[in-house]
Amino acid sequence: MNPLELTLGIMTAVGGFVDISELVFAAKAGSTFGYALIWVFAVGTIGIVVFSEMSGRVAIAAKQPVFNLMRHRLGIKLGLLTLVASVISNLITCAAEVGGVALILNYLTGAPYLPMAAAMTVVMIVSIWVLPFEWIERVYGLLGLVMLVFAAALVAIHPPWDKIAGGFVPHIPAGLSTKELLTFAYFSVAILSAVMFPYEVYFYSSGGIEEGWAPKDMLKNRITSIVGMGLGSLLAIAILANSAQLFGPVNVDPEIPGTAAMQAAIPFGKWGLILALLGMFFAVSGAAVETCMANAYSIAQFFGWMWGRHKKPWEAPRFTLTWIVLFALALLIVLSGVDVMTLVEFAILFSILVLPLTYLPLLLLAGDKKYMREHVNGPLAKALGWLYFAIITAAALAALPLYFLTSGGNG
Amino acid sequence: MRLTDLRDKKVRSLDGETLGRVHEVHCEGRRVVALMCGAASLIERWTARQVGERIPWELVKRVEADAIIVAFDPPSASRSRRGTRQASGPRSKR
Amino acid sequence: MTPDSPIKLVSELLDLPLLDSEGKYCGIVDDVEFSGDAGKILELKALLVGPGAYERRLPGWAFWLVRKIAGDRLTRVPMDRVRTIGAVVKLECAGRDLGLHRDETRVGKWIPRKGAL
Repeated sequence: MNPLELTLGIMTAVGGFVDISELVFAAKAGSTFGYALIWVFAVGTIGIVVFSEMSGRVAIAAKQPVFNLMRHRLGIKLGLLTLVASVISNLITCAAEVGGVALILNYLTGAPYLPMAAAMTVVMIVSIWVLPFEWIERVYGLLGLVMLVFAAALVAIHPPWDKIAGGFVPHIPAGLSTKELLTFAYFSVAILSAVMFPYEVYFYSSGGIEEGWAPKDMLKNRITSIVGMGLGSLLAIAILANSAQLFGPVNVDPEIPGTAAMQAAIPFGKWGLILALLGMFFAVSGAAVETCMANAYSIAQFFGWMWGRHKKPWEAPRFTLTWIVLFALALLIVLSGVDVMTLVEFAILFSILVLPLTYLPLLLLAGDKKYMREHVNGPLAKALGWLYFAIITAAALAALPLYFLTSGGNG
Repeated sequence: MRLTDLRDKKVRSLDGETLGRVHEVHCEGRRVVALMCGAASLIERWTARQVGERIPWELVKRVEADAIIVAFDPPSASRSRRGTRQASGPRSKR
Repeated sequence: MTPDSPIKLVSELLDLPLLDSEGKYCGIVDDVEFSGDAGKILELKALLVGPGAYERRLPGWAFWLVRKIAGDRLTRVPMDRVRTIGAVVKLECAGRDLGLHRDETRVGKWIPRKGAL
């Protein structure tokens, strides 16, 4: 195992962990409930680690990405339903990311939002066209490490570390009214959804095939999943903790991403603000690219087309046309004038509804000796996989009622 | 004939008794040797469990638009959860 | 597994991706064609690839939509062109020899061949 490659892989996972949904919900969760929702981030992170590791293992053992095998296992009707549901979910998520990038650019430069959305879509399309897969992942992932300014800000504001540590223990704050309890539950579901977005697993497993992972990369897969996503999650938790310390006591509701950037401005001034906005810009752009490519992977793999950015764009024409069209559709959604925060809410909702359909086939595939041979799920992976499937199914059932009962978390 | 003409189609005996639906087709040496039929559910396909009647292809009399007619009389004993029952020959467990 | 091995067509063949001799994906096994009939020997004849095969697998309205989007092309892959069956179906020849890359070639005409590293 090449230590440099492994380090790059971990750093890419760290820088690529936070997207617009996690940013928004981490900041809101902190300002609304203090440190009480940290454990939900931790629970969600364990979940995404479990399923990412599984999807990487499936890619290595079966030499196929998840969606290729999903249709075979589910059959065409249920497979098509899963595909349509995940395409819609990922498209809305991509639109939220594109809108988020445009908003951040508006904060950074003052340029108008809609033209920035169009311009950034073109830039992202060009970047996917020009760069080979490894560099797409690394450029956005490594530049996203600028988000570490949020972790630095947390250290600089001297938070109550004991309370942050206490936030990792699963609990519900005492003394909440029924409305507040429901809002807490909604935030829990939303955070779970944001951390365990389906596109992450599709992108990760297809990325493994793109990079030519072989059985010797099993350990790399495991370390990248656990360490990379674990550390990335700490960044999201830092945003939550900053918000709890800075915004909660003064009743500031970080409705827009710009407010979250103030977390770094307060301790570090102008440069803190600039670095925070730059970090958000790269992280959210990276998420836009990932969601778009994850969708293109799913569609191409479902229909058996040639796919992958390890090929030149003209060597996989239908795949290329698909991701360009998907980016264009995401941009159209943004240009229709739908508010970015509304898109984030819808992305979260659709994602949690689709999650059980996404993860069940993966769980079954990873547990099938015929495909996995000696790399089949062990007792721990099996237990955790089924536990998380139960959790996300419960969350999926609760999502819509909680959304309506709490007016999308606004109480 | 195609696989989709057989799969999920009702299987009826010559007496008109419905035996189930085809959920698997077994091939050996490129020849269809048997149909597996039973109350095939999504869960069974997902878990790749084998449940149901194994009907050798020789017993299939005709394939109609809505059913496959077979010369097969199922034994009266209840169906085994793990094994399969053959239409002829000794019972075997799989 | 080769095509002559014992095989379960629904759980071990249907909906598997096809990989040609050049390592290129060229579709999914959307259906399987037999020669013969009830009361006679029924043999594997060809794999059917393409949206045209969905007609018998999807509800009418869904197939109508698929046909509008993707057409109803159907390509036959003779069984003697199949090398192995496992997690994918590997073919003995290039996909283009069987007409499996027609759509890729057609769409490829719109994709510029420059600028990628």
